[in-house]
Amino acid sequence: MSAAADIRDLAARALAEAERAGADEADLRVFESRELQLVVRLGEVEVLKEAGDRGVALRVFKGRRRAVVGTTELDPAGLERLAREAVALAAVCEPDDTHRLPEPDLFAAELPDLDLCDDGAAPDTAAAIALARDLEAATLGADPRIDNCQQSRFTRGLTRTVYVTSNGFAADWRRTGYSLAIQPVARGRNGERVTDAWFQRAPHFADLRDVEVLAAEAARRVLRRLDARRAPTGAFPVVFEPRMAARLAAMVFRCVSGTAVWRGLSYLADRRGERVASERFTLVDDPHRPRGLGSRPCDGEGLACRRLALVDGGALRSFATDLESARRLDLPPTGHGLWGGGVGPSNLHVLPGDQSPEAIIAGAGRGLVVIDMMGQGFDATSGHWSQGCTGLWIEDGAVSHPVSEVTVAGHLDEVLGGVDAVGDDLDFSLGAVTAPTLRVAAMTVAGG
Amino acid sequence: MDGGLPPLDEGLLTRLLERALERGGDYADVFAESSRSQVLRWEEGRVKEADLDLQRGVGVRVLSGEKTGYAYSDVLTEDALLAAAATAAHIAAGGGAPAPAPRVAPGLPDRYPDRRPLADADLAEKVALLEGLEAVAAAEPEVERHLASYAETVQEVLVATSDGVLARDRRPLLRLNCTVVAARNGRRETARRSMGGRAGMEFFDANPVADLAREAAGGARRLLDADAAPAGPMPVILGAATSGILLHEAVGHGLEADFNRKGTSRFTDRVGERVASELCTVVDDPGFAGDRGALNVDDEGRPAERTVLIEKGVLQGYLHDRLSARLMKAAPTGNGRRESYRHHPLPRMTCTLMPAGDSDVADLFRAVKRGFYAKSFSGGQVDIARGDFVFNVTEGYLVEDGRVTAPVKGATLIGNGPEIMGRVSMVAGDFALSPGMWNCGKRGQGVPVNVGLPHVLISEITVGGTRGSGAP
Repeated sequence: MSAAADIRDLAARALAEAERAGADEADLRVFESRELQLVVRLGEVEVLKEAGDRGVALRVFKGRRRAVVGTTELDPAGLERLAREAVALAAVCEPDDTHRLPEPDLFAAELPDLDLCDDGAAPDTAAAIALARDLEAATLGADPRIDNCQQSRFTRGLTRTVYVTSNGFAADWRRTGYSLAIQPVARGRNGERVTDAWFQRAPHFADLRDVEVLAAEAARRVLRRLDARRAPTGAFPVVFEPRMAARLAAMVFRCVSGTAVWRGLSYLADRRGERVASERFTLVDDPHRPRGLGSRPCDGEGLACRRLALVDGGALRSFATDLESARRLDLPPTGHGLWGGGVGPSNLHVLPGDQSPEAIIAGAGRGLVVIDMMGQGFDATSGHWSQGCTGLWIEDGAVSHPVSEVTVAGHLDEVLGGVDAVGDDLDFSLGAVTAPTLRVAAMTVAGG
Repeated sequence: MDGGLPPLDEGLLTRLLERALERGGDYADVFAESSRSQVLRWEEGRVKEADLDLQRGVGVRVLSGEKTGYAYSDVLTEDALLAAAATAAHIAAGGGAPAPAPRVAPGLPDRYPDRRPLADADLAEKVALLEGLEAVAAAEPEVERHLASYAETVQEVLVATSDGVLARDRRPLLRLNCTVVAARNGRRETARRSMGGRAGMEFFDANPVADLAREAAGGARRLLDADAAPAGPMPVILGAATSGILLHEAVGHGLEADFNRKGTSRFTDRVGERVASELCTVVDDPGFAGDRGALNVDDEGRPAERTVLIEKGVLQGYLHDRLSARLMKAAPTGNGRRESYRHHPLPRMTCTLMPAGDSDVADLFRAVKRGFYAKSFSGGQVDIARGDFVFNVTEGYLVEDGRVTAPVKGATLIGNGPEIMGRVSMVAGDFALSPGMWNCGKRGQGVPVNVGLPHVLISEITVGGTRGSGAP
């Protein structure tokens, strides 16, 4: 089941089965993947996992009713059963006018080659083991206080997706992914243990940074957590490091997602065109970045997608819509659909400003740098946010000491409106959702 | 699509285990699984969408010292399965191992008493549950929108091990979710409530859907009435049932043996030591029939057992899978669990709880001059190394002069596990299991779990609200 023709034949066969079973329309995703996962700990291989996977998900429409069935059983008899089950299942649903395939002219006319598949030489298992060992050794060797490691991990994945619809759209794309991750443990003077996870992912192996660079960053990050104290309680400036600012960007995306908006599950539902953030805050989604971690040639429904500012200079410009939310809201689809329902970002990022992270911290005077977040404390419907954090305390414009057991809280309106500094340190290698350092003028910090 | 377990006869199981050990591993197992999952989504007063998913596959694991080799396949031909076994075998580098032992089925309890099995129930009966929710939710005041879903999975597993175990389990799991949006003067609040268990349709005889809808509607309305939550450290009373998430995050994860074997947990090397107030006893118990955390046998073929983790404040032991038990020379506890055949087992919790204490609930409140009553929770997370954890309150109130007063917005509570457990100052007698809704994630694997707790008073914990200093 690996030859290109096989997987397309299979897709065509499943669509034909759906039609025979009585579906008006249908679409289908066939996916095939291979993964290698390797964990090294204290120099020894701890887990070596290697496997291949495949599956099919079929969505049928009958009388504006919709059902989705998925299976790992791809033999002809299995596909026939799949199609029959799907049509039978659709019968228990009620019709919904938005339940139909896109009009053919909405499909992406061309699928740009975004260089998402690494066809170069990939490391074999032995080379992968050496990489993970080197990463761990360099991290452990960086400082005697780093005396243990949860894991040093290398992963490699290849996914092929074929998407076909009964009204003529077909896409077939492959994507590779590599990652290196390290989770060192450091021991403080009083026996306190701290840990931090640092990782990098890239579609191309050659784009992963050198293990020395990753190790140095991982060591710096874990060591700065040692000897944490409690933070005071009160209103303070709060600085979000890039990976934490990215979490904030993802929260904003949830609130501008067309799905949340039409359901009334977003505090921004009635605010399109209005000012919702400080003028320094611009949130962009860009699906066509070459080698981007979140890049996609079209969205999950086959619709065209393009670079779009969702929030521009603080103004809410656009919701992110899939076909259903666009139909509900009477807006054009923006190419944010996920197959099977809902919307998702591609390469979502906050545009950088011109201040260095050091200058942003200096400008805070006394406050908190958030370096890690725990738990889910954001409610998109009301906009209320209460978040558990680990951080660094700022005194006199400089980092003074780490703090733990801290929460930050506020309404997202006040948080976004209070963004008073944006860093120049946007880095697309941090993740599909990324952001530069952000500072919020004041949030409620609760500590000891 | 009623697949059933992949067809592995005794001869093939033996050949797979032999192939898995051909390079000299210490131990191998074969995990075969068939899962059938069904979801019905309800919105705008009707079933909007229905999903069905069928997964079938086989995973092969080889242990060699501290190393794990793992491979899986959803192609179920003998050749493909033997190839997976050979891939897993590569973790070991030596000669052949002894032949697999003859396999015997362990005696197992039956903790999923599904008198009316999910597979036998009509789809219409499941749709009727959602209609029942709608009828109640739509009639509640200020409700603007009601979303719901019914989800069921029946997982069949077979575990065959090289040390002679052949275990089977058939695990039903159902959950009903209800989300309500309430609106007043342009303001909206959402509340979500769920319930379920490892049971059949008879579950709903004892757990009426109307109660779930009323709770969700009441929860959303309370948030419309709520003031900002206080900020800062203060006494906190945890409500019975869902507050058990405290144990799961503050204690449970840190007592999973893999972290302790590797010396990366706050609880490492502390068995026999005092790690909590003497009022605290913490147990992991898969034995509540029909509970979401119930388990007959773990995913390594070990009978699942009740394990006392902390007794009267003293650490008794850890939760083990086979690997950790062997390497730490401890008795296995039957906690080796995995998400699916695509994953290797890890030490995991089942239903983690604190049994009832001696105090009267009213006395807990009387003991608080100014504090926070965290009645129910929606989730949490822990940093195993430091022991810091958070949990997210969905229903909270101020406590003033011993009385529950104003409802407040949801807030995060944050603390350090061992420190907070040391500050448990009163434990009430009203133990309750949480409604079955919890999923636990670890290393990218999700498994269903549950928690339980009576009302508990903690002398001080940091509340992450926005209103002033909480210091009395």
